[in-house]
Amino acid sequence: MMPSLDIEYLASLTADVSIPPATLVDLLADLESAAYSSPINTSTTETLSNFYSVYIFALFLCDDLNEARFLSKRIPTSYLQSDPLLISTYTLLRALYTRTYPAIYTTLSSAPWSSTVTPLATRFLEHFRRKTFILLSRAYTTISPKAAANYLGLVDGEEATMILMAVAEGWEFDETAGILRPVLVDDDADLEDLDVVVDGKDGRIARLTGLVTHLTEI
Amino acid sequence: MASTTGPVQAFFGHRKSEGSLVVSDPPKFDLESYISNYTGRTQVERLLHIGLHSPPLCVEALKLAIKALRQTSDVPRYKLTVENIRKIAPDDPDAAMDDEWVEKTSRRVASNTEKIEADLKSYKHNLIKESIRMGHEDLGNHFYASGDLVNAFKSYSRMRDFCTAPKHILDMSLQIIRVCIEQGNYMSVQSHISKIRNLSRTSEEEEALKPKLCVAMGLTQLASGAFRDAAKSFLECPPTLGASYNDVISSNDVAIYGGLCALASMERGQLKKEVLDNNDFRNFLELEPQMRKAISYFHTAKYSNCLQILEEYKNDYHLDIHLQKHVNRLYEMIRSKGIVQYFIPFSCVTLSSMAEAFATSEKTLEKELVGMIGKGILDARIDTKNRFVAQLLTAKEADLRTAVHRDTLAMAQNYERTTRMRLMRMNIIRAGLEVRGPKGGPNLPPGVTGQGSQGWVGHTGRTQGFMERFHMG
Amino acid sequence: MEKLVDIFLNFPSSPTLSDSELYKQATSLLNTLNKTPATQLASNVNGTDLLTVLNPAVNSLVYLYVLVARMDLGGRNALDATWNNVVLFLETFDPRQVRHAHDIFRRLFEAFYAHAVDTQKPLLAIRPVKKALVRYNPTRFSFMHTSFIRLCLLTKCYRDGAAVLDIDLVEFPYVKSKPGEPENPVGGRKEVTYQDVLCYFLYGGMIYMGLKEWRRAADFLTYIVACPGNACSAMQVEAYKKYILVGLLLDGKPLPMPKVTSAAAVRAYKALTKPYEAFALAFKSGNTDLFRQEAALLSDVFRQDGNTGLAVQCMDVFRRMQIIALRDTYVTLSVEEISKKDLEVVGRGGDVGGKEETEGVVLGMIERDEIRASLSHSGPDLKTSETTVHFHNNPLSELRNLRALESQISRTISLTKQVKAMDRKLGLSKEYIQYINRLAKTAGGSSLLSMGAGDPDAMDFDYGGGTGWADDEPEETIMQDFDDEI
Repeated sequence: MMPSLDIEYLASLTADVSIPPATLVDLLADLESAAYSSPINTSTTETLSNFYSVYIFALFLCDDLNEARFLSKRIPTSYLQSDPLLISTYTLLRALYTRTYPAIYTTLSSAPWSSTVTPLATRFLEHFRRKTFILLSRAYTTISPKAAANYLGLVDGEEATMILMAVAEGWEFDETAGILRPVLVDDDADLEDLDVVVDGKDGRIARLTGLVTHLTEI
Repeated sequence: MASTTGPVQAFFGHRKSEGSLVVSDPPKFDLESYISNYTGRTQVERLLHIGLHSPPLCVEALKLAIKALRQTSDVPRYKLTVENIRKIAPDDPDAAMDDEWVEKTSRRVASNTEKIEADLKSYKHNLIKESIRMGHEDLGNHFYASGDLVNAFKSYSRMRDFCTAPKHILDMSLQIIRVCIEQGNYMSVQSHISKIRNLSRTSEEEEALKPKLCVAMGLTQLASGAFRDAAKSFLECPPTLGASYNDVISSNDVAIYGGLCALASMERGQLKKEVLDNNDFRNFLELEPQMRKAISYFHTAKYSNCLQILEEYKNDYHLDIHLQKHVNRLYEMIRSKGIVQYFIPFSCVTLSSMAEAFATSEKTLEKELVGMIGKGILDARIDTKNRFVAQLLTAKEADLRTAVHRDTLAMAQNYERTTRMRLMRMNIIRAGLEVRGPKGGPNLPPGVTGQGSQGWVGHTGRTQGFMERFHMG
Repeated sequence: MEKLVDIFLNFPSSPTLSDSELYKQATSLLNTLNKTPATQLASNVNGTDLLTVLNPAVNSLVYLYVLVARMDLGGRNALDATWNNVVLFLETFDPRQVRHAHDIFRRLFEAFYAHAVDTQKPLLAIRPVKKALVRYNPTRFSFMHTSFIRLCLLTKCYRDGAAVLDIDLVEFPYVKSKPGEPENPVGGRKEVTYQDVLCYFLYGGMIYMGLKEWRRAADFLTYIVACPGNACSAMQVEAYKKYILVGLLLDGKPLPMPKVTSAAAVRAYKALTKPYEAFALAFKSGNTDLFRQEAALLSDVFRQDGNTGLAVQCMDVFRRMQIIALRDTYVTLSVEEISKKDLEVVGRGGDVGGKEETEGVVLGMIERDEIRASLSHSGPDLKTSETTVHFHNNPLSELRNLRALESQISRTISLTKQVKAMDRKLGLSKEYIQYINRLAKTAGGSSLLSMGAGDPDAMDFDYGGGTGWADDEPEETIMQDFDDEI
């Protein structure tokens, strides 16, 4: 039986952390037709705004900002601009799209998310923070702690904590110079399916030469 | 001694606004001794050139020019010179046109012209080749002396048909070369050099001829900016040149032209081998010791010293008729070459030491380097933070492997892309889905009726709305 | 009627029939169905809706026929009433069955599609059509492809569109008739036209452009630009314009004209896309002033062609490309120096071009792997610290490289399979064999074998528009190519 578009169902989806984001998106996409045909009135508005917000957050978790943007264009504009939950979601989308770091974290932590959306907001905050941390470790050879705190959404006062956390992840803290030295952290995405990759130098060379030979034979 | 008197300033102010170069500072050479190296027309030409470009020397140069001109029958040039003196030193006695001299000389020229032409006519009647040839030559010489270069050239050229011996052609060509150098007509210079080269001659004649040919060739190449070739030509010039070609060029000139061109176009090793160790050329270099010093400095990588010397003599070179156009370019090339050569032995060099070596500030140098890298003259990259200039990264061990991965991947992707496109095309053709014109076969797609139909190139009707335009059915 | 229902429910006799068994049973069922009047199919059975008795996933053929019957009789109202049934059908039908009623299926699809558009609720059609397409032999271009993509563009359902576009096409339905068949197939309608094909690639390219997948967009545009034919369609010209712009976004320079582009097309492109070439030249020059001027001059042209979005992105990218180009001159360079260089083309005000903004731009470039560089702060105090960009050549994650290599290997292998299959098909094709025969005759009877059906250059034949060859030779049925059945 096809699940129906109601708030309980949505809540069950967002509470279940075992669903991979891509699957979550597919499940929600199946409901979009229903949402689309539904009128917008006082009895449906809670469900609809939660549906769209959850959908957008699921796309955030998939790092698919493009589709999130297009989804926002499929929502009736007047609704998008009047519903408080959607307004918050859209603000977050814009901040993410333009990579305005302070705004991203502020919105995530202080916007009035509904109880259905909150689990996703929390998940995404951690996800984004981790992603940004990995990016910083790749992009910066030295970084000022203040700047790092800015990127990671840690306000003044939490700098010390951040430094400790960074050091725990392998970064170095140069006390005299007062700057952090990031150390490359392996991207989690890269570490998946390690066994797909052939072991050993010889194996790799063999694959390479195999490919080249194959191509030249054509 | 820079003249700041009214008329001089005004004159050169005007020249500058017309785009002409003005060398406000005095050169190092002494005008009198400099000009004594030359005779004939080139002496006057050079004096005029200096007079029109150098405020400190203008009066003196033009006066000397007038003095020399009075010994000739070149009336137009005299007039021109007087007009110029009048602008810069109106009160000078030479500023007054000597109408009497003008009148007398013009008459003499005219009557000579008549006479020689009449003689020539009669020779032509008599059909004696030799006389006709000499007649043309006389006419040519006459025109040359009285400043009519165009007719001189014509007359000399007409000698061709009446030359019966190699020597005739030789003489004729040399005369033409002399005229053409003055005119700046280097194409002709070149073709006549070839003519001479094609003649058979004895080794003695060869030797006598060689200096002039080398120099003429060198001037031609210099004029076209072929500095490497010009250098070679001047370097090949035997020291027997001496003063034998003073109505065109002096030995000092050979040293300078050759030296500068060599600096601009040769590597340090070549400079040593072909210039400094060149025994013949040494004779020239002795006449211009600063040039030898500069080349020597460059060879020993003392670039700032070399460039400094060149800077000191810049005014002199700007006032030379053949060099003026090329001085800036030559200097630029010498400087760039210096920088490139300086950099070769290093994988990495500090900006500060480089700036010092080239007597410039780091900031200016940085800008200069960026320009050179952009033009592809220098293969390097600038580390602005650590203030280095570094060689382009060479592939290290690990990078090599990644490079192989990357290249293989790129090759495979390319192959995939090309193949997929070809497969797509084949599939489209097999299915009969190619694009067809209105005149195509019986399988006209629905909706297309022929000329003026929507969607065809070259036909009218660009409707609004992108999506709607192609919404067929 | 009950008897009919029994027959209907008994097909197929088992879910695991072989292809030939299924074919036999389907043919017999279709016979029955085609003889049954529509009114009977559309009616109820003892008061129960036939559609509730049948299962679209299992009794797909019958379900299909009933739907079409209802539609034929009831028009729009019927469609409204059966909408959910159609959706259900599209999402669950058994493709092995429906394949045997291709044309009927097509009628249903087209009615469904038209209705969705008419009732101003196109989005409702997206998921069902997508599921149907993906299930029904998606690697074969069909009547569904272009409509679906057009719908996706209209409704801004880019992710769904991309899901279908990502499936590479390997065959197209025949438009010219096969030997032995009458000139116009049933109903006189071809399944698709070349405009459909061009449209598909153009809309598809636009979807990829919306998703900023420039590589893929470029591929699609290339298919249009280099499409074979003896004339040039306006669509190709439009595609070429976008092709130029996408090249800038991809490589910083326009993509080269494919060598196989038809002569008519090359002429048209050269004549009609000069503004775009000027734009591209200005971009390539790296001269900000020049590019800015050119962009301003052409804003109207872009607007008319609907390319403003792309052009603005080019202007954004210009700055990033200039930053990338800096790596040829600098090992390190301060962010402040970069921001001082006049690189900003789209005047957007604010801090744009300032130190912090430039640092953000570089960070974004590093994030998207557009540049190999790293940043470093000189000190903890953001006001006094100087940020330097260090251009390096460090390899990307080796794991990532290897993974890419592995996937490329498997794609190459599958591609090679396709090539070999094509080679075989061509070798057996009528045209090729006629060509060989002709060659053999003109070459004075030289051995047919020497021409070799396995000739690797078979791929390079220029079919020159597909006209002519078949026409003047007597009909000969060579080997029937089963792959090309539908």
